[in-house]
Amino acid sequence: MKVEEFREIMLEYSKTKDFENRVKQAEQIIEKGLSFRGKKYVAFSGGKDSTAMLHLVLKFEPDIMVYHSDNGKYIPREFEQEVIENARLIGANNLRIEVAGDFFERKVWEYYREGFRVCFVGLRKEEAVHRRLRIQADESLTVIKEFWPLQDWSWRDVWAYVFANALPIHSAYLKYAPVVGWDKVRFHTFFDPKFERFGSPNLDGVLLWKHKSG
Amino acid sequence: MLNYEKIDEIEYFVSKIEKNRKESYGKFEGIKITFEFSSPVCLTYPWIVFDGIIEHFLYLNSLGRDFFITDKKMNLSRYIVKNKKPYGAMYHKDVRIAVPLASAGMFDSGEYKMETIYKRFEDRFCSFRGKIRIASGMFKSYAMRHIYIPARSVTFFVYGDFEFLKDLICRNIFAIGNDVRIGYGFVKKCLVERDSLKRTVVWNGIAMRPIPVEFCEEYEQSAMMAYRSPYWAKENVRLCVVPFTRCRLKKEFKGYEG
Repeated sequence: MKVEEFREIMLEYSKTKDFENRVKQAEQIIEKGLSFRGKKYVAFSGGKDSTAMLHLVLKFEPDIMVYHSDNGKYIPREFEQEVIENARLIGANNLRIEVAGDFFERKVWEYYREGFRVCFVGLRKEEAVHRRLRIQADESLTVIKEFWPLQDWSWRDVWAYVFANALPIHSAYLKYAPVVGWDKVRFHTFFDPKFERFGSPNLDGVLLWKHKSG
Repeated sequence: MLNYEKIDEIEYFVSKIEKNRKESYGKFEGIKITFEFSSPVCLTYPWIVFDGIIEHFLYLNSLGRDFFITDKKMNLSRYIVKNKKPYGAMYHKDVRIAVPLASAGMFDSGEYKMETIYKRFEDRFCSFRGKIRIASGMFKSYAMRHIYIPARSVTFFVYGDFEFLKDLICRNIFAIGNDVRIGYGFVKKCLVERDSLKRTVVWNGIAMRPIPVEFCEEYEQSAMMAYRSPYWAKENVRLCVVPFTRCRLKKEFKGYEG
């Protein structure tokens, strides 16, 4: 389905009561997170979930720190540039970009020492069983407490929010979604051996062929 | 205890190739080859270039059953296409590389579709009792996504020995593309015709295959890609004109334009 058609459908969906309730629930979780003591930050990958979440959080706290991790060779440089531009377009003015890899071992302690106690992460229960179980158990991965404002959102809610608020969509979605489907499309690393068992390199070879032998 | 004789792998394969190499070819001419499919074609790259298909069958012919034990990252191409090639090549004294006169495939559908294939744990392969990790190792479960083109036919243009290529291709080909072992890209019919037009490299101002930019005067789009087979070999990667985009060859190569 082309983006124009999909946008129309999602804009219609964004007028429903269900969607309004999901947004209200997300706002309540954000307010709860912000009421905690200590500094807060938003984890931003550049995908649709973190785009929607970042926009929601910035409504409450426009100067919140936005953390983005750069996956290096597994993200084409123009894609990475687009992620940063999108974050700024959404309104992030306190953006911190770190190299991926050592966050959980080293960086997180630096953040803790700096006084960060709360982070907002765009995880959704719908995405995977282990994510649902982690959210239900209220289990943060690090010493910094995680809040998941979009925990009960479906992929429809996320897209509806993105289109209803005219948020920037990463061009990788426009390449992949018409083939993979708007419900299944995800923004992650490309040509990454980690995703070989899901056949991602097969897709990347055709849809991102320019980066295959570059 | 078995005594294995140590042999040099490359020497062994090269000697077989040398022994079975066809030394002389007939008249070279333009050829149009059309394959009709009975199943969709699975791809891992947007183009299939015909010299890759020819070399695959030359390997198969030269090595026989030994083809299946070659290391897949062993590039024996320079031994296979030594001297006179079964397809022509675009040469020039100033450009040290040679571009095969074989086009990329023109599918009758440009639409990409996706399918997910699941490989699941099967207990018949497991001879013991107990817990089995299915996230890794030989019992790992896969949910592999593949891209396929729902094409009914593909057309290639090549410059070479008509009789030799007709025999080589039509006798051997049963499928094209990736994952042919699970039924993708099955060839129903193979049609080989003589073609007077030069459509192998540039036709009507459109690049018909990856062409290194040093051959071109003007081009619309370029990218790093392999310009000759094997297309997986990094030593063949150059800045090339992207297939099926506009380009104009330099004056000295005008003879290759159709």
